[in-house]
Parts: sequence; structure tokens; C-alpha cells
Amino acid sequence: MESKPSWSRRDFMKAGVAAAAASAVGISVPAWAQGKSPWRWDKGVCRFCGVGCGLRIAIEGGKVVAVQGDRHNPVNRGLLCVKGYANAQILYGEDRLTRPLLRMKNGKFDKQGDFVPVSWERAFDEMERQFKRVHGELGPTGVGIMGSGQYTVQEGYAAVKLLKAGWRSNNIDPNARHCMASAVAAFIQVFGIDEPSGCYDDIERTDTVVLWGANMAEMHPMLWARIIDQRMARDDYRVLNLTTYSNRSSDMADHEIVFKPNTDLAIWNFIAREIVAKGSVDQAFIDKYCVFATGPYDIGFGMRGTDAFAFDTEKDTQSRERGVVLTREEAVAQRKNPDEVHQVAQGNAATAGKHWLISFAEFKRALEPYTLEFVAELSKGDPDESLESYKRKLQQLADYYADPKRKMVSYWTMGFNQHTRGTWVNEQAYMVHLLTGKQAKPGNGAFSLTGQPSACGTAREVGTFAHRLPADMVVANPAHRKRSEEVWKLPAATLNPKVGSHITKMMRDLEDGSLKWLWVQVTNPFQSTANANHWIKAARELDNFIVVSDVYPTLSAKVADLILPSAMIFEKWGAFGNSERRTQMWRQQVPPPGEAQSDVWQIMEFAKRFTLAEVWGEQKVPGLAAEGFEDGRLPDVMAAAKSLGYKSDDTLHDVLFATPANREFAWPDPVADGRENCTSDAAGIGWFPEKALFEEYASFGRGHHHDLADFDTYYRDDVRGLRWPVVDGRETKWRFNEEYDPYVKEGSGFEFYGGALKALPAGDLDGVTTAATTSLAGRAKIFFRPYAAPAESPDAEYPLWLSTGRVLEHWHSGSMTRRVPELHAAVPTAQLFMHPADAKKRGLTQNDLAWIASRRGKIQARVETAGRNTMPRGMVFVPWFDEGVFINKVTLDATCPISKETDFKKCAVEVFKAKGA
Amino acid sequence: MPWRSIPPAALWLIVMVASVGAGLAIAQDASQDAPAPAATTTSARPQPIADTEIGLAKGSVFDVAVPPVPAGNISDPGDLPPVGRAFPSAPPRVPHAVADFMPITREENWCVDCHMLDWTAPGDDEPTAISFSHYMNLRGEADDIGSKIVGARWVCVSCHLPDVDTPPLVENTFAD
Repeated sequence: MESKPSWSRRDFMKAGVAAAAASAVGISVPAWAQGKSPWRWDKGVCRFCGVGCGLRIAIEGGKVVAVQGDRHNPVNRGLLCVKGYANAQILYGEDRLTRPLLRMKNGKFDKQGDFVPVSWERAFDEMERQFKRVHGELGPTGVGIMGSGQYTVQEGYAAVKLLKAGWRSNNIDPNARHCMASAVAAFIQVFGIDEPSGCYDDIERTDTVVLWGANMAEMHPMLWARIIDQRMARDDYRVLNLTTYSNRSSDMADHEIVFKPNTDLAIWNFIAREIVAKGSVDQAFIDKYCVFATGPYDIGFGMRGTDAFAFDTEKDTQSRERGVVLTREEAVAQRKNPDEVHQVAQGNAATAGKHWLISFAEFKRALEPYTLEFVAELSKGDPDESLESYKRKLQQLADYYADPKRKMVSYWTMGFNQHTRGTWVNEQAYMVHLLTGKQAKPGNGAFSLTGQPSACGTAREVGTFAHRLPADMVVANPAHRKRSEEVWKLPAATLNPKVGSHITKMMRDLEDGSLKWLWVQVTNPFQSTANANHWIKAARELDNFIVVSDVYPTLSAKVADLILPSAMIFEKWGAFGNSERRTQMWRQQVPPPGEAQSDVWQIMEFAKRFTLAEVWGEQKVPGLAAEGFEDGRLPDVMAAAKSLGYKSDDTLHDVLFATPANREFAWPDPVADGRENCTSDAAGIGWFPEKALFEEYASFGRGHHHDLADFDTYYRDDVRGLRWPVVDGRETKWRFNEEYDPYVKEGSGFEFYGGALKALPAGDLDGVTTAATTSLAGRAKIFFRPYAAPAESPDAEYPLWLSTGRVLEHWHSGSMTRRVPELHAAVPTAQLFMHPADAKKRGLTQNDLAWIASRRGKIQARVETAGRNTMPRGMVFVPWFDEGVFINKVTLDATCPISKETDFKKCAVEVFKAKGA
Repeated sequence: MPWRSIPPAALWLIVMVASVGAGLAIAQDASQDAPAPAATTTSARPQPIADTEIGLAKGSVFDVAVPPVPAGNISDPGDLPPVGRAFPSAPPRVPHAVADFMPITREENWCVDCHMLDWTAPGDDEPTAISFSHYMNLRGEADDIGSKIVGARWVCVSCHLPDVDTPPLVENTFAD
């Protein structure tokens, strides 16, 4: 590992700016830029956010020595943010995990033991023993995998195949559930197919960008750079920032609208009402391509149905899962008499996603209460702003959307997605864009930005969710299971039809003892899941076995029983898919340190520990009820397996991974151009798992709206990723639009061809009146969704709203970026952003130590009353990257009942001065 | 005993004691020259490592840590020399405090006001000149060289970090 660059980088640092400027003008170009240095460059992708910036990576002596933005990559065109430049350094924190670590006492596994380095063999022995103990006791639902939107495509595919096809469980769910599940649910409900219609080219093609709960300046900085590039070059370009506090995106925006948490639901309906009132509806577009729909309002908040596990202090909030009294504003927004008391049982908590067709007339009737006066009073978020000023801004916002001459792009991220009505508010964005015909056209569209580098490419498209299979298929659909069983060469009825536990539910399952074996891959869920006091206690004090594969000792590693050392991004082969459907790949550049191994190797190697006879016999699955299955159990499929040519002592490794087809992809491969593959090397095999798994995965989507190019294409020198569907070698920029999308029927103009949820009953605003279903083939749905109050709101005891989020300098739980000295120095700790008046009222000032307390827990942080965010009175913000400021001990694990995505943006807290500091 | 059954006053005391302890542990770690106890030990006789000894916040996950006061950089422009780049293709860091120069808006950019200088002839005592690249548009064309920073490069703090004298949480061997 140790190797000094022969050409001194330190010399270059001394040369500093003069040399950099020189290199840019082309005078006195240094050796490294001329290709004469010993550095070897290759293309790559950024490890961090969902933008998917292209990198060039320089290697020397087995080490990454530099990165730069790839100017040939259309995503970032040579630019990188502060995190992007850290892609080189993140590999080299001194405490990289290099050996498996098992909790032991006296040479044996002991949950109360300390970590002892062990061999991979010993590690897998214990994993296997614990798995088989739990599997024997609880069956397939007793085990699970927490995965990631940072999985490579191949890792996610290997994990989902092992768990769903091998272990016949559906308990796999990614951290991406916390990130964009609401966006997914809305895509499926509105379009019948996941992933956005537009692409980043919209930034240059539009006139107007509206941010809704997306602080792009910090979270998607290189896309923001493209927006600002347009804004500063074009006088007619407009940027609006809708947010619950003032942030860096506000600094550059033309208009900032600070609204009260959850009232985005009302603002969208106000805009829609204005569009109707002004006659700005694109009638031809909606007549041809859209229908109207709505669903129930009494859907709960995704909390547990029981308070058996709640702390006493949590029980009042928790009771809202069963019933609420409507606020006055909710009553108005839901067409009820505000002077009466409305006690509403949450009867549709388990059927939150159901919906039905309504008429345009009913839709318009539903919008009636959302007048400017009502919505402005409800939604104004800054108590120090006048109502008149706020009203003018709302009107301006609606005017932009309603102006038929203006092209509109709406961007959102966690402000929408992490929302107890996250699916609804996503759908409302499409409501307005579809009503005005401003969707699926260049420069026009509502666009969900993702947070993670492969939340789209892996978590969603591969389908590492509890309910999904590859290429938008779902486990509950018999035809989808059948197709997956065919591709995977499984006996019929191998796949489990019962949806597994989403990631928050897996935590709840750990606490109630229904899940006892957990493998955490490429994520840090014990830091990132809301209401964490419950989960860390369950992990450490109950009878379960938790394996954490990671590159650094994270907070989740601290509560694990076994820690496995993983290879990091440029130490393995991989592919990511970004927010605009762009699939990008990279080659392994350097070897992993010590005994660290790729996640693909870990998954394949562990699969050797299972024979078919152990997992494909009859299995109990509590609650399973599906056509063709006996209640509560999966059938024995061994006889059918044998007729497919399998033997009972074949291993899952042989049947799922080292298949005859996969072994055809030989390693070494010319595409590597002499580079290594740690997976093939460690496995001692002559085939190329990352290529084989990619091609097998891609076979699910080809011809099914999700076409990917072949593996080698992505490595071509002239390719910087391609946006799927890639048909006849051509990528697709705007889906559903005949001019751009080869899947749209000729002559149709637009076709929303997604196939899911496209036959609906019909009714009025209150419910179904005609049970017979109508086909909506080719059409998108315009939903009416009402304003609803959040799961928890400030009160006398907990008078402040708390929102959590990120900062530019740190990624997620900070396990990589906090090990980069420059990033750590820039933002060394997560601060408590609050209004100076709120601080003063509590005897607090800048940098004071404060307690932040909720019904669920309390932690300490330093007060920040200035800085990059300006909070309105009544609201505080704490980033979650800092494990020393463990804010998820305070947050609430309420979710959108449809998407199951947690609302990290609102709960009620109190702040008070900490003594003695 | 489940913690929620502890009387609030007693809980307060427990948390306070625990948090003071955790704070001390952090301070001590930060001042040590030696690397943190290694999870990377490869010696023949491996020493057990407690979970309280690993990670970026040492101590138990059940403790409440006391976060440090962020150091910040309070120097004025010109007080300190330019800082080195992390590697040649990395952007230079900012050697002085920037809080007073924020926010950057479309109309006002204090960074540009001082740093938009002739990059071909950097003076010894002048602010660091903004590079040529910042005048080139996203297609790599430079049509307004030396007169207008492109919008894509306008928000300086997206790419340029402040240089702050803060010890790392964990040593990084990238530059070794």
C-alpha cells in the first residue's frame, strides 16, 4: 500500500494558483495535465449525491492521488463541489476497517463481548450459525437486509437475488426508503411507472425554476451551478425558493417564500385553483392524456398501530395513528364545517394508497376552499413577515405556473419526500404540471431530485425494496413473480408474495422480536433512522444478531455484533444511476486495504453457506395470504427444483450467482485494460461477476421500458453514461413524449404508458360510487389531495418545530466526509440553527451548549443564530451528519402511510440551556 | 431498569454525568498525536476493542456527547498566506474568515470584488487571482475573458472550502 508519488504533489501545492491558472490557459502545462506524469487517469462517478457528477481519477502506485471534474461529462461539465473533490481522500481515513471484527468473550461469540479481529472464515461461520438459528425459529421473515441508495447496481442486484430468490424473504429495504420512497409512490400512482419524465437538460431549456423543499445550493450544488449560470445570463430566467427557512438557495433566488411546515399541501391547491380560475388549464392536453382521481384522507401517519412499545411521553403523539380531531384549517380544507368538532378515526391507515376516478367538476369543487386568503393565513411561515407581503408572493407564484408562455420546472427533494403526506405532495406537483400541460416536454416538468448516487439506479430500478422486483415489478403481482422466476431460473412459487418490512419497520421488528438476524450493507441505519433510542436499545439488549458491512466504524458498527470490512468505490467495479436516469460505470482503480472485500464478494461468498434443501423446503410466513399459496406458508419447491436440474445440495452460490450463463463472462476482460478486479481475485474465479450480474439484471428491463445499454458501452471513451431507455444505441431525454421516447405510440403525441394501477373504480370526493373499473391506458392521473395537519405540531411543552437535513460539506452520516480533514475543519460539528429571539428567550447565544428535547429523547448541540441558514421564529434546524450530535434520538418515526418514508422535517421540540458549559 | 421509568430528576443527573464524561473523552482524543486505537490492528495477538473506542464519537451510543465549540477562522484577508491545495487539481482553500462576506447574491459577491485580478501576473502581496477557467462557460468556451465570471462559478463556497485550524477527527493518509 505504501508508495510515494515519484512526482511530488507537494511541489504542486506550493506552486498553487499561478500554476493552476497557467494550466488553464495552456502555458507551461504541468506534467500531470500533459499525460507525461506517472499518473494514470480514468473516468469515474462521484460517490456522493444523486446529481451524478463525472470525475476523472488519477492513480499512482496503487493509490488514488487526485480527482477532477470531467469536462466531457454533460452532468457537471468539469465542475465539482467541495465533496466531489474529496472523492480521493475519503478512501484514506486511518481507521479504515481492514479485518472482520466479532464480539467475543473467551474465544466465543458473545453479544456483550468486545470486538476481536477474526478471519473471514470465522466471521461467516458465526453469521451462518446465527442465521440458521433464527431462520429455524422464525422462518424467512425473521431475517433481513438493510441496503442502500449507495449500493452499486451489481451489489443491490446480488443482495435482492440472495434474499428474495435464495432465502425467500422480502425483508430487504434501502436507506433510500428515507430518501425518495414518496417520489416513487407518486410516480407509480400518477404515471404507472417509476422515474422522471424529464432530465437535467430542462435547466437550460426552461424559463422558471421553482424549488420546493430542496436546498439545491447545498445539496445539489453542481446542478445549482447550472441554474445560476442560466439565471445570470438570462434576464427572463426566474428562480423561486419555497422553503420553511431561509437558506443558501434563497440567497440567489428571485423570490423566496417561507411557508409553515406541511402547508405546501395547501399552497399547491391554491395554485391549481388559480389555474382553473384564470382559464389556464391546457384542456386539450388533459382531455387526451389525463384523468382525475382522489383517495381517502383518514390514512394515519405511518406510526405503529399499538403503543405497547412507546415511551410514556410518546403516547399522546402515537395515539394520532388511531384517531385525530381535525384542526379548524383541516376542516375548511376538507370541506367540513370548521365550527364543529370532527373526531376522525384513521380507518384507511392500512389502505392509504387506494384511489378512484373523479370528474373534473368534482376536482374543481375540491379546490374551492383554497383561496388566497385562507392559504396565506394557514401557510405563512415567518411570523415577522406581513400577511400582505406573503400574499403577493403566493399570487406571483401562481401567476408563473398559470402563464402559458412560461416554461416551468419544479424541483424537490427531502422537503416533499420526508413528509407524512409525501406521496400526496409529490402528486400535487404533477397535478399542477399536468393541468397546464407543462410535463414531459423540454424545459417543462415536475422533477424529483434524489439524494443518493444510485437511489434511482440501484434502489429503485434494481428494486431493493421490500415490495419490489427488478424493472418496476412487485412481489405481490403473480405475473411479475412468474417473470422473475423465469429469468432467475427458479421453480414456480419460490418467490414470496407477501411484502416484507420497510426499513423503519425492520427496526420495529427488531424491537418486538419478529426479526432477529440483520445484515446492514452500505448504510448507517442506527444513526439515520428516526426515534433512535428505541433501535439502539433493541440492537444491544435483545436477542438478535446484527452484521454491519462498512468501510469505517460507523455508529451502526458500534451496535453491531459482527463488522465486515468492505471495499470502497474505486476499490471495486460498479455502476450508479443518477436522478435523470443516467447509468454511469467505473473500473476498479486501486485494491481494497487489508482484508477488505467488495460487497458483491461478501454476498456471493456467504451464499455458499446455504444448500437448496435448507431454504427451498416449506417455510412459514406469518400473515401470508395469496392466491395459489396456502395461508401462512411458502411451499416446498425442491421437487420442482430437481426437475429444473438442481440438486438438493447445490448451494445458493451456484444456483444464483455462478450460473453457467454468468460464468461465460470471462475475467480478465479487455474492458479492464489491465486493471484488477478484487471480486474475481478474492473468489479465485475466472469470470467477471460485476459484468455478469449487470447483464443478467439488464435482461429484466430490455423491451420493458427500462432498456440499458450493454456493459462495455458504458466504458467506451466517448460515453459519459446514458439515460435509459437506451433503444438502438440512443438514450431518451424526455419520456412519454413521442418526439423523444421510442416507446410512445406513433401519432399519439404523448403516452403515459406505465402499466401500474391503470384500472380504477369511479366515485366522487367522498368515495367510490361505481365499483366497476375503467382502463386508463396511456393516461396520467391528476390527483386532488387535501391539506392535512402533521403527526406532531408544536405545543406549550414542545413549542418549536425541528427540521433535520444536510450541509454542503458532509454526506449523510458523515462517515466518509468527516474523515477528510478539510471538510471536517470547515464544519466540525452539527449546530442548532435557531432564530436569535428564540435563543435569547432561553438565555442562549451563539455557540452556547443547548439541550434539544422531544417526547422521544434529548441531545446537546451548539447554538448557531447566524450562519448559512436564517430560521424564522418558532423553528430550529439540526443537520444529522454528526454522530456526536445524535439528532435522530429526538426525531419522530412517523412516515407517509403510502410510501413509508419517514418525515424528518417536522416534529415538536423544546430547547433549553445546558448547565455548566 | 428501563430508562423511562427513572424519575426525571434522576435521569437529568445521569445524563449530565454521562455527557460530561463523553465530552472529556472527545477532548482527549482530539489532543492525542497517536492515532485512535486501531480497528485496523493486524498484530498476531489481536487485542479486543470495545465499541466505545471506535467511531467518530467515542463512548457509548447511549451517552449524550458534548459537542465542541466550532473553531472557525477569524483572520482577515491578507493576514495569512495562501494555503496549499489538497492535490493539484483541487481548488485552493480560503485562508481567511468569510462570514462577513456572505451571503453571495446575484448582485453582491465580495469574493469576486477582491479576487478578480490578472491571473497571468500574480503579485506577491495581492489576493489570489481567480483562475482563467472561471471566465469560461460550461461548453469550455471563453467569450468574455477577464471581464465576467460565469454564473456556474459564481457561488464560490460551493467549491472553495475555508481553511480552519481544527485537528482532524481521524488522521487521513491520502497525502502520505
